[in-house]
Amino acid sequence: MENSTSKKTDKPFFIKVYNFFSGYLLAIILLSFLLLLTYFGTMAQVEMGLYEASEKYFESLFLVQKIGPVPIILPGVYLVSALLFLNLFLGGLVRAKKNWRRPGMVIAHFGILYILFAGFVAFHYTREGNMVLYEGDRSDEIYNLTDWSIEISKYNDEGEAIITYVVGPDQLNGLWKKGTKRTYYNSEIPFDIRVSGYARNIANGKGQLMGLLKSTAAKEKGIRVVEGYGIFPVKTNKSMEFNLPAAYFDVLAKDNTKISEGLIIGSGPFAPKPFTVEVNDSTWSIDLTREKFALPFGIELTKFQKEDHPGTARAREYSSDVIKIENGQSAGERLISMNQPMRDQGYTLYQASWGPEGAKPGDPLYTSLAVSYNPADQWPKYGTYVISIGMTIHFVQRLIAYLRRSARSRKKNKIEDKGIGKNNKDSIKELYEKI
Amino acid sequence: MILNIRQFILMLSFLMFAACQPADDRIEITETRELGDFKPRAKLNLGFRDRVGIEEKKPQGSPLNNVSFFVKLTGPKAIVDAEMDNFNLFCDSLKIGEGNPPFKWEKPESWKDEDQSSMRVANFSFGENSEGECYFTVLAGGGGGLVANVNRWRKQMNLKELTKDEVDALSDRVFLLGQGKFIELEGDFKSVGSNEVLKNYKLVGIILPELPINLEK
Repeated sequence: MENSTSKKTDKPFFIKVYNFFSGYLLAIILLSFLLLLTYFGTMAQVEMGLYEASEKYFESLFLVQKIGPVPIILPGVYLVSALLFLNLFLGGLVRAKKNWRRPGMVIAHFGILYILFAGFVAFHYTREGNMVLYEGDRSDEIYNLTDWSIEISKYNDEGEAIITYVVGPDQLNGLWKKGTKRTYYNSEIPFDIRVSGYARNIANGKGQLMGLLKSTAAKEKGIRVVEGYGIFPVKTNKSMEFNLPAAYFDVLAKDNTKISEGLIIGSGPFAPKPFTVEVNDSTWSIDLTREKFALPFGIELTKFQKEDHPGTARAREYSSDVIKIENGQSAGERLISMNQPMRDQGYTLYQASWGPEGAKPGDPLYTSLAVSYNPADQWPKYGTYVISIGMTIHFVQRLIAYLRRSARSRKKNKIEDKGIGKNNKDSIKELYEKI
Repeated sequence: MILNIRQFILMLSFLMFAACQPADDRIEITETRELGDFKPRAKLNLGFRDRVGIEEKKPQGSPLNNVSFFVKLTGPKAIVDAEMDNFNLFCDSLKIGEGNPPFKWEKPESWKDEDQSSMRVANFSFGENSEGECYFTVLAGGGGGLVANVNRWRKQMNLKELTKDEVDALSDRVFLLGQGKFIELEGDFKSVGSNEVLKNYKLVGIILPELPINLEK
């Protein structure tokens, strides 16, 4: 016993780490954390809303969870999933005894790893957005409903944007913490932009700009005034798409002298009205806008159809007849309805909603298409197939082994039964002869 | 297989350190965006209010309204020219006071008080035969706006209308609560509702448009 203990403690540190990361203990800890975080994350959605709860519990490395008055540091689902991937890879594929006559468990573990990897790809590379079109409108851009970005564009003499630099949501992340300032720069842009006072939301539920103050009121509250107004954050809406951010910015020359200053409020995607600045005889604009992506093809809405429930204004069914446009040419007519999305070049266009709300009969209506590009869209399905195949092989082999064992056992019993019978016969014969 | 507590804390610290974001407040913009062929055209060179779409709302039914002030002196040119000092005296003496409407002023000695009306808060005549008149009017709202009012007066003097830029270029004059536009016109005068055209007349006036004030004070 002593010998075995001393053998355990004598193992090198690297082996101990390897054993820990590939062991059952870590798997049990991680699965327990997943269970706990799923519970906390689901419950938190009631108070925080889907977006913020997802961000806090499912997209983070660490988080602070209050249990009663006690704050506890927990790993986030992102970290737990990454560790689980490592654990399954080391434990289920590298360390596990590989019996190639029984490949089921290896295949099943590979399927789980594949699903975890699909989650990683989907999290980092999915593009989601919306496209809103009135009949006759064309668009090849989608905008994200929840993520915002700052776009800095350069214009030609005709007032057309020729290049757009993007300060993405990741680079804006955390800018809303009190007193935070960040300076964004690029060698191709003849100025730097210093963003401060970023408010994630300045509007109430009715869309009124409660966080926008006229200069007098702002000065009274000690809030910075730019372009005659000051901003302060108001409570964020649980549905992130209803939040309207705003920020101050200073346009700085490369020697850090101030060229201009402005106030940007989240703008709509249809008629951008950005802040304009002239630097070195060229026109630039700065805009706080929902994150935008261009599609590899355009969509033209030819007809939007809506059918209401009888006697109500509630839509029972609605669909969009669209034309796909490629290289300026029509590339075929398509129908997008509630259960029939359009799939093309990795993009899926769903019929999401319509508007405007409260439109009267005869008013022009728009269609709202939800667009998703997820390179790992079908991977979880394939992963499930792989797991199913692995488990099927495993259980079929186990079943066959069981049946073989049972057959062997029955045969043995039969032989033994026969033996007992013969012995009994012999004994009776012997007894008879004696009598 | 189980790590001791020291090793576990060491590993946890490493992971937490790796999770921290850099504190650097200078960030390079590395991303550009592909622009769509059907992208909406941006409207450039707009002021903040136009960018955001803020419209100044006038409270309905509130005693606090935008108010326009007019002072107007008309008469034969020679008489008006002679009364300019009195006109300036009257205009400079106009102040916010007590009463309803709440104004006070100093009447030039040679002017005669005429009946006040809802339109004419102060109303005077002057000249031997009371040929000239001067009155002070307060109108709730813009009264049609500065350009419309200048051109209304010009029409009375049989003069062609001015553009907004031309009106904006008229000289300013401090009046009552702010900076008004000073108008000096010569021509053939036809009073509102009258068919009689009075030759060689002069009109002098100040318009102070759309000032927020509490009329019930």
